[in-house]
Amino acid sequence: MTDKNIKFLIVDDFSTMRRIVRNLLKELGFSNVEEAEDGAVALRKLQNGNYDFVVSDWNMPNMDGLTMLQNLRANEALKNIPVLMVTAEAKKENIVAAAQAGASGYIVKPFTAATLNEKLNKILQNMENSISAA
Amino acid sequence: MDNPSDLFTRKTLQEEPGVAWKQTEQSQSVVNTNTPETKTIDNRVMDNELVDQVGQLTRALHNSLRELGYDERLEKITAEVPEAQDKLTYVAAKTEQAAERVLNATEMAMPIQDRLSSEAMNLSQQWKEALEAQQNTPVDTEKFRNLLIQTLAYLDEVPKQANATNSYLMEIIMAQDFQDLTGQVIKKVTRMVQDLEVELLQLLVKNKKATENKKNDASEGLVNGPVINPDKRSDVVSNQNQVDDLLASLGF
Repeated sequence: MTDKNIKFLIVDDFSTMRRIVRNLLKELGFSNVEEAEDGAVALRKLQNGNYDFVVSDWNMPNMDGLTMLQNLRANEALKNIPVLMVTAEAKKENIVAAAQAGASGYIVKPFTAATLNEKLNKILQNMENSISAA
Repeated sequence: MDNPSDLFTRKTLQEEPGVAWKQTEQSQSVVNTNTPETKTIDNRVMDNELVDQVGQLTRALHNSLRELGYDERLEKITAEVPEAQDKLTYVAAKTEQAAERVLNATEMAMPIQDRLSSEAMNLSQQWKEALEAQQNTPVDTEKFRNLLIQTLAYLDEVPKQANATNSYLMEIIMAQDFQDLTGQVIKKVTRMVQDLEVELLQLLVKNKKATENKKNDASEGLVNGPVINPDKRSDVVSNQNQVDDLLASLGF
């Protein structure tokens, strides 16, 4: 059974997209959600708060989602936080780059609630499996 | 304005084209005789030469534009470019506003629906329990009476709440009015860009030299935003299934 109290960070430069993701997460029962408007703000928040899950856009000012992901994976304390990319970047090159950088999932915009639910559950399932295996 | 190269440019630009070209030939002959003696000629001559050539080119381009009647046509179209920027800013603002309105209305309506639903479930549960209890023990009229009052209160509340939800749904419908406005504006901008493209293309064809410039086919990099026409490209995915397939094929 998934812990509905896990803490999310939504990273997107458009406030409407952040609200959409926030509402979708709420529908799925997750209401412990914070927001950041770019990768740089997100990294600061991640370093200071106990986040369990990151949902991030790619194309953002100051620091894009891929750079943020690479920074996360290079940080000993943060490297295990799952990162789900939700982005309009649809080039195969992008998807491969994200996977290689250690993204936990990749969703292309526009997306449906069902897709978000499916990817989220898959990642959470993997998390639980790796915890119980450890 | 006591810089000699400035004076030189102004002079050549004011002269007739024929005379100006002669000037270039003279300057070129100075540079071409690149013997040890002429090497000592200071850089100013080179600067003059360069500025002069730029001046000639500008002049030549200007003349051919005028001859072909492009200056007026291009002027007219380029005057529309700032206007197009304003129009697109308007579209961005309108769509953002609409998104905010829809999200606001939805976030207001959802708790109403949640309350109606949970209260109905609560009452239903109480009725079931009351009916079950009544089979074994004598009827607890006070309990039924309370339930009846609660249920009536709920039934009276439902139409009010439904009306409130309806007004939020109406707000969502009204928020779509941007589509009409932005649609018109986008059509105008599209037409203007098409006109500009046609004019510039013709200009390029007439001035063949320009078309000889290498086509810029540098990679776009990884930050491109939404793909507008995925069907016309093979390097992009057009739906989530393709993303999943690609990742699966790579073993992720």
